[in-house]
Amino acid sequence: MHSVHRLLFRLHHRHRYRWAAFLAVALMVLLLRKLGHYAPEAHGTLRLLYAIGSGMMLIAPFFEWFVDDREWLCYRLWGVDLAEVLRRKSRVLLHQQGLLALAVPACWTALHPASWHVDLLRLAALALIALAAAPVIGLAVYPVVRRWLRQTPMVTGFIGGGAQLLALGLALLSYLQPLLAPLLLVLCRHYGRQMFTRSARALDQMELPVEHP
Amino acid sequence: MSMIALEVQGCSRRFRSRKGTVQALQDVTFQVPEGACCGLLGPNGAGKSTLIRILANVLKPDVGRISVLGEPLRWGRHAYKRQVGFMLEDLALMERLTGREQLELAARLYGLSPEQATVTIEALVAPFEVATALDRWIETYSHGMRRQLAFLLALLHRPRLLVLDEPFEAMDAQAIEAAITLLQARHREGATLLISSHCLDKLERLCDHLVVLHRGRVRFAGSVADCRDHLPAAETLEAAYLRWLREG
Repeated sequence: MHSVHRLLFRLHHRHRYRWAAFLAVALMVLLLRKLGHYAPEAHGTLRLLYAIGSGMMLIAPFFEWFVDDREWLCYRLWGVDLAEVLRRKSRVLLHQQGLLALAVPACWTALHPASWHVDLLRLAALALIALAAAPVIGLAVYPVVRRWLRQTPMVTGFIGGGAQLLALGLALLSYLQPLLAPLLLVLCRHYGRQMFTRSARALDQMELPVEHP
Repeated sequence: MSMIALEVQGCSRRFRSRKGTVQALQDVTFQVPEGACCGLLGPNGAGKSTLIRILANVLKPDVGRISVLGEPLRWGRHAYKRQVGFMLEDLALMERLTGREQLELAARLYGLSPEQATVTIEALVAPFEVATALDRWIETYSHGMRRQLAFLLALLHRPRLLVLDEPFEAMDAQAIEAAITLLQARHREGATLLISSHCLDKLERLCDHLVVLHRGRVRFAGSVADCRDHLPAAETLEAAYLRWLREG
């Protein structure tokens, strides 16, 4: 018998194919290394590109709490407390994305050993902030994104993309100035607590999308 | 005096779309006493699935009042489902889990201990074909197996009220027999059942009450005995049902 955490982890892991994200991080770092070899003066820009790419990968899953209507319907029919499910999912996603976050500085420092002392702190700050900000911003926009998802894919992309950029901005800020990381962590934690209840309430009020009979 | 497990009063629901408006339910009123097994009958488009979605609180009625197990149904409140098992037309299954994992997740979220969950799952699935495929991903299941799993999920937490939409659809003869036996056992233990189905012969075996819907309105609501009393001599329930539909 598996724990709820493990079952939810499997549900997400199978859907998202984490190994593909690890592979993408490794390929990206190899590509940037090659570019850096031909243009050593661009090292700072390449590092920033790496931060943006890996930041996006860390953040994206937090915008899809319940991947499809069927999962939402399961929780609704079982009558479970959605805020509690969101909290559990948050822990599952943090566990899952945390593994990827470990790979982000590790890959970079392994392939760019000369600059590890400069990069490690900044990339660690980026990973921390991305993981702290993503659940909060993801939860804040999720019920709205979900509603629009059934209406216009373009609008969904706009809302989701805008929120991702916001989260990314926060992450980059931490990359450029690691000292801001603790402050952002505290802010995210403060706002995150209310988000679970607020998003769960919005999801509780949703109607099942029904085909015209 | 017997308690009322389910009460629907003046419930209406209309769907609007670009193609026009459909009145799916109109002033639906009926009661199901506690411990009864009630069949919900009606032709395609009669409003059975809409009514069951409304009872599951995933669709809002335009007007009307509903109470489940003595408590009024409130939009956005779902805690009552800890005592109610639902199987909807829209199957609530997580495609990327195995059948066993889906049952385990539901059992654990219902608050069953790991030991209780294991024993309950093993006992429930044993008579069904889906037992042989429990370790496969649900997305590889046939339609019949999905319906078996959805049926078992509704029964997992031993609910006081079971609301099932077309539970026998796409099931093979063996699974239907197992499902009927399971439902009869739950009924004997005191659970209240509301079963929507087109299979009148199965409902006749199971049900002591009937609600007949036609074009969104209640055509008959009452006990099977009452229904038989009002039939002309030698007319079967099935013949009467077909006659109602023709007259309707």
